[in-house]
Amino acid sequence: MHPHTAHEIPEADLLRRAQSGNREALEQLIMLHEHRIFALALRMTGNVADAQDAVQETLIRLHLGVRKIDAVRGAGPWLGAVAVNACHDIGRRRQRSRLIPIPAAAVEIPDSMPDPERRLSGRESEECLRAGLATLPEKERTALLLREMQGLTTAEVARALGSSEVTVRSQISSARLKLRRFFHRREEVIP
Amino acid sequence: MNCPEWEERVAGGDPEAAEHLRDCPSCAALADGLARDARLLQTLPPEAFAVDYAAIRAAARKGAVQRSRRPKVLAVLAVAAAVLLTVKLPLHRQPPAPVAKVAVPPPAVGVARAAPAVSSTVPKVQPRRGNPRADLDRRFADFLRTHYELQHPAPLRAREIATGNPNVTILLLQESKGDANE
Ligand SMILES: [Zn+2]
Repeated sequence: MHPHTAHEIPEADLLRRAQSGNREALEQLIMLHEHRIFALALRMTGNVADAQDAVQETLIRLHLGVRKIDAVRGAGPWLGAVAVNACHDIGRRRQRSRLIPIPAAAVEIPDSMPDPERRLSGRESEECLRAGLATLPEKERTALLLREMQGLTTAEVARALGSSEVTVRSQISSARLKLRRFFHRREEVIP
Repeated sequence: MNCPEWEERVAGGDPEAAEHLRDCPSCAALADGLARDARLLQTLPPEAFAVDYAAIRAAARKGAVQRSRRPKVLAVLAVAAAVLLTVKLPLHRQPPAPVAKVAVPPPAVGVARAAPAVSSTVPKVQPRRGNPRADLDRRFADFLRTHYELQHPAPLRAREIATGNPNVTILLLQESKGDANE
């Protein structure tokens, strides 16, 4: 389940080898990123099926476009931008843009944490987070997730969203504040 | 959260806000909350560990192969159509019948759906009947279409168009609007 072998090879090496046509390296690169792409897609679309579709579409585009990735920045920002586009396409296709909470019973939580980098959010805080994200305008939500989950710079988020850096900066801080106020109100209700 | 003039700057990570945080408990609490939210966003949801990634990876590999093959198949079909036209023309240069100029309408999506608008000065383009060669052409068109659709979900339309010359048939191969990405 967790690609320990992939962890042993630095990502930059994997990317370089994948870009020169090494399929094994590409698979290992995918295994490094798939959990995070799924998480991003899940928080974008709000449901597991759409998130899985978005991951698959992202991986297809990775297979076809791995050479386009800036080796200096690594695969994360590129994958993030492609994944949110895939989510938008899926949303448009299904004409469904609002987030739908996942029924808790459908989720299996593993007993132990896989590793410190891949900490799990608690079910309650995750549900609260997704409920908060669902209240944000789509562009703010996308900008926030690209910044906080995939580590895109303001310029990269702007490029991914076809927007200006000034707009993106404002969208991110607005999204942070709205999300914080959402949590704040919850904390006041449930101390 | 009651310091509106600074909240936006704190949320935007403005370095000048750092000094303000020391003197304003409200903004300091906001900054703590924002840091907690950022950490929560960076953690993975439980669902991320209940996904069959191997199946998704396999489907993606297959999808990538199909998409990368698509332009090649189209090229092969175009060549096949061109070859068909050039091979058929010389074979039937028997007594040259009076040749009428035929305007083939520009390719448009869904050619097979509606008859193309043809100007009244141009002979109407009609499917041929009761001609063994026309049957052969139709079978070839069917073969191309079937062969293509086996590999591609987007339908390919092959349309036979007769010309003023009974020995010349135009095969119009047309792909429906696809979903090519990137
Ligand atoms: Zn303040």
